[in-house]
Amino acid sequence: MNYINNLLQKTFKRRLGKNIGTLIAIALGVSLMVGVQITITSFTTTAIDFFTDAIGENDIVISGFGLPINDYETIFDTIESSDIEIAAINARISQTVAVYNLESGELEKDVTFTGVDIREDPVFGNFYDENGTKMRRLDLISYFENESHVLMGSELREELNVTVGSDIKIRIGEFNALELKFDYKTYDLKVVAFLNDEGKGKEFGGWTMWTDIDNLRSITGFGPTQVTDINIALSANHDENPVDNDYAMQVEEQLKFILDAEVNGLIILAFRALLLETADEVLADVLLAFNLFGALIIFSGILLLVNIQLIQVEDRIQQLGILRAIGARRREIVRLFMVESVILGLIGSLLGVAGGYGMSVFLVDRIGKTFFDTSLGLTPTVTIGAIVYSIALGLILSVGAGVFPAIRAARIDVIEVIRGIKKAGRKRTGKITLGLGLAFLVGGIGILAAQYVIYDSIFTKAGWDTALEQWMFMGAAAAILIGVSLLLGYLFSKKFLGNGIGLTFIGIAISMLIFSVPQLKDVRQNMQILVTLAVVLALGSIIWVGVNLKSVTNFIRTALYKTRLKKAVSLVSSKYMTSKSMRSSLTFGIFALVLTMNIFAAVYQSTYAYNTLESVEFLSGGAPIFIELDTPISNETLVNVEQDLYNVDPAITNVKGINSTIVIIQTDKEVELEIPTDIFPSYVHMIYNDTFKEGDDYKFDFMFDTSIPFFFDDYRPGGSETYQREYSHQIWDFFYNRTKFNREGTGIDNAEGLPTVLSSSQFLLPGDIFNITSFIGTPEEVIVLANVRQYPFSQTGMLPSLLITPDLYPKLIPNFALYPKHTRYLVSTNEEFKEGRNTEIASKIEEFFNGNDSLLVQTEDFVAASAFNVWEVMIELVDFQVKTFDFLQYFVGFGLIVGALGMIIIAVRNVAERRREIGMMRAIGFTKRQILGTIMIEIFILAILGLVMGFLNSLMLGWAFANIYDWILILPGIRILIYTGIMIGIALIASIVPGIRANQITPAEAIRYVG
Amino acid sequence: MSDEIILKTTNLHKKYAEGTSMEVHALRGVNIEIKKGEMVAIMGPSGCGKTTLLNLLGGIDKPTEGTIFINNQDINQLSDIEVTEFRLHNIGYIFQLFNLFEFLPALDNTVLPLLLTKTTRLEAEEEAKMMLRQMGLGDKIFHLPNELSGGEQQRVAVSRALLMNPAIILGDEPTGDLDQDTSTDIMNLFISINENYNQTFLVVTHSEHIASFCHRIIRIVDGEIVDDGKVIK
Repeated sequence: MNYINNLLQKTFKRRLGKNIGTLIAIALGVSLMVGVQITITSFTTTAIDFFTDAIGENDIVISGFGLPINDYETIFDTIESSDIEIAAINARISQTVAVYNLESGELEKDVTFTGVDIREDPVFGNFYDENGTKMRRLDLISYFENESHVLMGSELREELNVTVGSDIKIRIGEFNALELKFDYKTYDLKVVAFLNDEGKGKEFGGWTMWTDIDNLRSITGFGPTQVTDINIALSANHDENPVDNDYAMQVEEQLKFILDAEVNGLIILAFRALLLETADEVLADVLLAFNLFGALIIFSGILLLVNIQLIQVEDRIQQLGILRAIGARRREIVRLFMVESVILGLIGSLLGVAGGYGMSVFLVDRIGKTFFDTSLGLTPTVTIGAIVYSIALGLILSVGAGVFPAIRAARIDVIEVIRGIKKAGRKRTGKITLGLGLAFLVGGIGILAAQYVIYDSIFTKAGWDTALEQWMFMGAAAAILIGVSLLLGYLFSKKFLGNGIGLTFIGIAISMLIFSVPQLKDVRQNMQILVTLAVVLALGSIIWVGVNLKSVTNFIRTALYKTRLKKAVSLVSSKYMTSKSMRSSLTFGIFALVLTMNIFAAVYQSTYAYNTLESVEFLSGGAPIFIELDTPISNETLVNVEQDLYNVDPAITNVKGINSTIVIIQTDKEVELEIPTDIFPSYVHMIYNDTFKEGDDYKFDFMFDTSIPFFFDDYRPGGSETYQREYSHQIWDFFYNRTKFNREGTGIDNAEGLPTVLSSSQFLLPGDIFNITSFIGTPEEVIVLANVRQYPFSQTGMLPSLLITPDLYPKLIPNFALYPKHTRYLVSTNEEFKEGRNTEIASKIEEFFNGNDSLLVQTEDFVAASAFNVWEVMIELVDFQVKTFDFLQYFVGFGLIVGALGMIIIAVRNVAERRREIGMMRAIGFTKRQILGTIMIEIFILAILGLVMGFLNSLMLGWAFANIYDWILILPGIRILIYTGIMIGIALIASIVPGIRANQITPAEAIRYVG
Repeated sequence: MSDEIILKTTNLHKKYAEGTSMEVHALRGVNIEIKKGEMVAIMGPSGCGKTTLLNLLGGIDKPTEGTIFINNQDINQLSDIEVTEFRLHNIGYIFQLFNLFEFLPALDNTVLPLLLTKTTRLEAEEEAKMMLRQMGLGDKIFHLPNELSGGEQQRVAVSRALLMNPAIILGDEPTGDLDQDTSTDIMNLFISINENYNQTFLVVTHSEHIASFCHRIIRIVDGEIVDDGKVIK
């Protein structure tokens, strides 16, 4: 065995340069795997921290829904005497207020003004001054000594332009215990200090104001045992001791029970769990995009690694023969290759982990700057799992690609190996193939049969509309076709097998993308399937072109013969490609993948941006401006918005008010909602029939979807705007006339004639029945008729929106008569939708409500109004997606750079193995230029093949992506050209560098390898 | 054989790593004249400078001192491109066994040099096929090297070397990997070509048996010719 070890050491040293090349290529491949995983994990962790930092260590929030919680101390006692283990509990009074800077005239609404007990447990956060120093209790006592003194968050400070000592006034609700409502009043305050907005809990969320709980009790008229919120921490430090979401939900249920929540009008929410689920929802699209491109990047890393290992091993097959000749046994030889592969794979993978970490440092820093607007350097989140997985994959692939050819070669005759003679492989495959083929065929038919029997879906009208059906169909079709391919391989030739498998993958990917995926209703599941199909399509194309490489290169050679190029150059380069079909396939595969991800990312971004923004005008329903008031205007003698607003700007053509409030939704459809609660808040907007419609004309023309296929058999998704409008009008009449309906076979049944609502939430779908309640009135059972797509109702932050008819509103709000006023207004203008004029008008509307000259402000009866240009709001909303795409460019850019480096190393390494051929060529009479040409053409043709394949695949994926969302496919021509140009540039570099390297080999040196 | 001198070297020296402590004086003033149609064997122990000499004669490497005339052309005066072009048209190379492109069939391996000239592909292929038929490989023109025996592979190499009708064919251990019978066959082939086409051969070999097929044997020791005599058959 010693001689094997000795040999190993010597050959390793002797081939140090080549080994370093291999190591770098393996490291690049693994770095792609590691970098992608660390980046995605870091994004998720950072985003979740971003979401949860605002609530400190809170797990459960108990609130009284608009009304005070009475006798909080009893609640404390009940909880503390129960068997629920809590880390801390506190009580606060919070009100959402509008704040007006008396000096500058600036006004901000939706500010959280919280009264806090300064002795509360530090688990709920500490106050930090603007320099980041923790405030002492003595300071807090002195700050809050005066009832009108407040601490202010940094964001609010900037927006209001205040300094320490500034006087502000707020509009705040004073609790009217007799009528169970809030009376709004103004109150003067002084800012005494500012808070630092970094960190957790109190100091986070710069949009806040703080005072002592007793001060706020005095301002709001709350009794000594009344509060608005009780917070419970189940863990004192969630980073170290995280609380399981399921456990938090169990505690939520337990608390509902022991506190008799329904009777006492308490809303109890596992808030952190809800927030985490919401974060998952919000992040899901971004993560899907990351995973989609990450999968392609990792796949290219795998190709890179396998490619270099094949080169590493193939040129040593002759050494293997010599070893056999001197008496080495097969297993010793395999061991030699195994040890070398393990060493290379392990060192390469470790280097790859370092490289991947380096890659993620840059990408994670971009994540911080792009998504979370932080200048602080984010540290990549390294998980042991990602590293172990990448090293394991790197090692398995290195060893597999390194040892498998050696095992095969060790079986060949010693003399043949020494001579480098390859036995012509058998044309047909063996009996194992026959068995496998039959097994696949039977398995595939079995899956289809099971799908037919169990799900009864193939021939049903609903089609393959669930993800499970899609996966089953995909698996069954693949199994049957692969089975047939294996049988053809057994009966005819291996080429049939290769073609069969390649075409199976391509065929399944394309047919599912065209016919099947669009049937799936769930866009997210669709995207998951798209991720899989992207890899399947790439794999299929690589196999198929690889199997037919000979025909392709014959065709290319014939074309090259017609050029001025020396025919010998064309002959050698094209035939070499064919002879190394596996390596050639891996090479063009990498080019294909890199171009696929770059072009697809560009198509993805352009298609998304175009369709989202272009649809805004249509979906705005003719209301380019939307106004929100924080409270209704109590004195309409000062302002009658629906009349006075016409005087603000002559371009205003229509103003309609909407009554809005927040209600609670109670549903038992927990699973469908995918939210860890059966109770959550929602906006309701009461809309009169004439709000939208005057006679038969629609002044504001709102659009609905999802319901339409259920109600109208002839509805075609993705129809024209006129077509959608026609059906939406019918939905509107259905909604208003509260028609009884029962749609057989769809599960939508309203034979009882429940009140209908229109929902903006993807969780509240047509046919869903649930209760809505304000806790003041009686709970009302309603049924969702359709989903509203209209801005701004579909874009009301984290809360869903429901549109309801006026007859339902008074039932929900018994003291409705006291609040007949509007809090939302739709405004139309005769300006172009996207024009900046609407922004100007929105700004004039805000001035009308909140400017120093406003009668409302002057009489201290102010409301805080926000007037939005819907177009600009949408651009901001899309901004997150645009940021995602911007970041994706960096993401795939790394794939491109690393892929290109890998290709250059592979190409150079390839030349190093071909000195004998180069020597022969020199001896025959090839000039240096002709050798350069031979090497260049070979790599360049592979690159072009890859680029054509990548181009077609990316267009296919782009088309499918647009189809999933029913969008128009946008091809950003210039960017596609740029990426293609970059890739051609890389192909040139990857061909010139080894070509030059080949010419650096002196003829005398090259000829030594001959003979 | 004619009296025309096809190859002449004068005072040929070759030093490697000149001026360093590693300097090797591979050839020391080698003077050779080879006439057209002559078959010459170069023999000597390993490391004596045989392959160095062959490389210099083939224009693959440059001498440190001295001149090489082939077909009256001083090849040292030619640029890299010119010498490559000269080699293409005037020199045929045959190595040991591994001297075919393993990914090209016999026809493509043979036709390569002609495809570097202005000859059309069809004409070139016709000539190559004819050459292979003459070598007895008419039924194996589409076989890859690994589908041919060692002797057949060398015949393909000979076909390729002959195709350009070179002034001289340089053989570096052309039968080194073949058994004695096949080696004899190959050398008989050389003789046949030599006799039929008046083709000049210069063959480096270790084997007295192979050398015995030649008209003349030059023996080199330590970079110097120690014997240059006719073979007594």
